[in-house]
Amino acid sequence: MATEILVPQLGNEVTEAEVTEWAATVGDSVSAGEIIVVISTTKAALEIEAPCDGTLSEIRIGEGELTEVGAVLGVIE
Amino acid sequence: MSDAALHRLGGEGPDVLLIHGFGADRLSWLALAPQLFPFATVWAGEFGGHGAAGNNVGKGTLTDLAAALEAEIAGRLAKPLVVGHSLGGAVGLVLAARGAVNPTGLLLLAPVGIGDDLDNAFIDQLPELVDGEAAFALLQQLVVRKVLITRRMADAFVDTLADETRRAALRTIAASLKSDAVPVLFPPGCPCTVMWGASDAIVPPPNVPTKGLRMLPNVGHLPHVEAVSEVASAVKELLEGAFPTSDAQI
Repeated sequence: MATEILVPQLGNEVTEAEVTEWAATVGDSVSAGEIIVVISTTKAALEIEAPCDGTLSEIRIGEGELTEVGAVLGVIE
Repeated sequence: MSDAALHRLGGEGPDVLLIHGFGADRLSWLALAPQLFPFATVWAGEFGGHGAAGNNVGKGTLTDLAAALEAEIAGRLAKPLVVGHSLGGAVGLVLAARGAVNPTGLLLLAPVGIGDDLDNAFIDQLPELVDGEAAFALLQQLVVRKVLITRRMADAFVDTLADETRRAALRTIAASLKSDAVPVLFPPGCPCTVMWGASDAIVPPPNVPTKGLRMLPNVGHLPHVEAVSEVASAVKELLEGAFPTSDAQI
């Protein structure tokens, strides 16, 4: 079963963020609650945790790329 | 009167007022605020010289900053729970001591004034930054996990100082920060929690027993960035204590 890693709600003013760093690479085993990716704006950063146990099967937004609230950053299977 | 601004960030529930630190603004609550939205109406205050506020800071004293914020709050927020970071923590104490906002609780994150001496070099250098590389090096001192401060943030901060009146406002606050008296007594009866990064290099944690102190290992000067879940849980705990009846909306 695939679980998407989403850009969370960031408040009513912030609609996009940059992927700063992936803490895992495709094929890595990850655990729920583990910090898996860091996103940032020009004002602050946010660490995003893996939503479930599994294997990171896909990275859709790479480091340095801009993304929007609600977008799929990657997939865990 | 010093300038200030008040913004509603989102959420539904009892009012929570976030007060930023020196050089930050409402958008520095990016990680924490959304975690509060499910159970609180989240507001962010901004001091003069910061964010969307004007650049009049008076003499830049804690009293000046608190009075300006108090004027913004008046008539708009009733009994907010105050979350103050660093300079914002000290201003939160002033607001509580004045009895002006009658906060139902205080959550202080590495507040100026009750820890060991703050890093004057950081305070002095921040308003003087002119290039991104130096800003990046300085701002990285704020965190343990360096990935949480980016060069893009540093460049954006330097851009804000292109406005010389803004730079002057920060200089005024910096000078005041080093000499201003900070209230160290918590308001009686006011539920209070103090959270501190054990590796805070800007405002080192206190060496003396401090009421309600929770130390956060592997965290620097930004608990609301490096320990978001812990801070959000503390806010919820304080709200539950402050609003124990069915109108808590938690």
